[in-house]
Amino acid sequence: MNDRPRKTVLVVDDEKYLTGIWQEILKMIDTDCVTADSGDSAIAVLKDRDVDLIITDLRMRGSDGFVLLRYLKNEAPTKIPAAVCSGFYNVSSEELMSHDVVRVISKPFDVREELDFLKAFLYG
Amino acid sequence: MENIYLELISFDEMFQSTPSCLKVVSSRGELLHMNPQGLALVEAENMESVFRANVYDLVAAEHRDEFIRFNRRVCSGERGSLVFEIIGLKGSRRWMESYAGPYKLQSGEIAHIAITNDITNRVEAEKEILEQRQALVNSARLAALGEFVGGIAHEINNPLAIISGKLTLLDISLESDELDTTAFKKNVREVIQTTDRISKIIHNLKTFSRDSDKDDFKYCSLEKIIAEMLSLCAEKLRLSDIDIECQIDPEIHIFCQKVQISQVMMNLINNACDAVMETDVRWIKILGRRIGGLVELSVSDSGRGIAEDVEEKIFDPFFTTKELGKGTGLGLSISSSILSHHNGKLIHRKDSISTQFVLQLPMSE
Repeated sequence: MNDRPRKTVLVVDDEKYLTGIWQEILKMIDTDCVTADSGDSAIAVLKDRDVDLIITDLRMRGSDGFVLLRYLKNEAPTKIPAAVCSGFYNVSSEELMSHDVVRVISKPFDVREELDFLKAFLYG
Repeated sequence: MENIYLELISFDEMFQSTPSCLKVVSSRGELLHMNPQGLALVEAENMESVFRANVYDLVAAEHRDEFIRFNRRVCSGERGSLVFEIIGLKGSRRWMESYAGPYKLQSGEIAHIAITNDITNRVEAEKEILEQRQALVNSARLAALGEFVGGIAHEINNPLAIISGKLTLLDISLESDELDTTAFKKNVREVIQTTDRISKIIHNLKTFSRDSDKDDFKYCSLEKIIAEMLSLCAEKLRLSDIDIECQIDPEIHIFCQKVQISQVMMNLINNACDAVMETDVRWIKILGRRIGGLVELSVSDSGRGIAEDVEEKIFDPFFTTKELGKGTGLGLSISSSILSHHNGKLIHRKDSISTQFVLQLPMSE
């Protein structure tokens, strides 16, 4: 595990405790975690540093997850894979697919399952 | 003149071939005469078989009394129209629209003469339109409910994700050799806090349920409602060093569900408390007065006010600017729905120098 290049995941959620959970999960697999609490602040982070995966909520207090997904699709200089983690049901899978979402995680989620996904996706 | 007409047409043939039902009914409801179109509607073979039969029996039970009254009115000299349903001799139901007037028989007795049309198709089409409209209303209501449930799902799924996530992390940490008790305790505390958050949401949701609307509307003194409500938050206001000024016209009585209005005021006071905590000068003013035909109850505070970009969202369910765990985002939307239930309004007054919310209620007699 120590030989591989260290990777970074950007977690976007306005729930401090939830980003905390992702931080702990990512720590377990020696992965860096940066956080943002809105679509706009996530875009600001992306302009500053490279990330290997984004996990974003959809409905947040400030600008929502779709602001970020649209940025990723239309404006981002490089293609960054994004997973959606949301408890919001009024979104069709077609809508998410049109944004090239790599994984849909619905809240509440199984931490162990997400650990397996992250290991496989980032280092598999 | 009359002779020219008689040469051209026979009144009997005219009676026979009129496309509407023509009939004469006695004041007791006996059928005295009916043309073939009418006989076809009541499913009779010929006039002989139904002569002096009681037409009341042909009228559907739910329209019969009304028809009898109509017949009596007509036979006592009135004109009028009536829509009713008949059941033919062979059992088919049809909707009729009848235009009737008095008709003097040769015996001198006044009978009921009427032109009656079959309007079954029209009635059914109208019924269908009504049903479609009802279906639209229902689906709109369902859509609104769906949206609301979706909002709740999101609000509860977030804390649920925190609880299940943290518990799994705790479970994993128990499997490792060294246990970080400080981190463990912190996580446990956060789980407890988060379950509290769910119970708060559920508690507030109760207001939306039918049960809380069941309270009777009563005439209440506005001054008394506010005094009771303030006694519940006096301690909080004192500890937070907030000055409260309250001026209520003692004459004002409102017809309301007292607990619901208290809840609205409690929500506004809670919001005001949170807002003034961020400022050095802390005051809340409550003013109750009559303006025109309305009762206006306003809550103003010394807080920094509501930012323009969130102003339009403040009444949306689950919208909150408060810190995590502090607000459910339901206060103003619940308050607003309570006010409309009271034929009133909850307004955020933008032109006020301080932050001001106003309850407008209709005046009680």
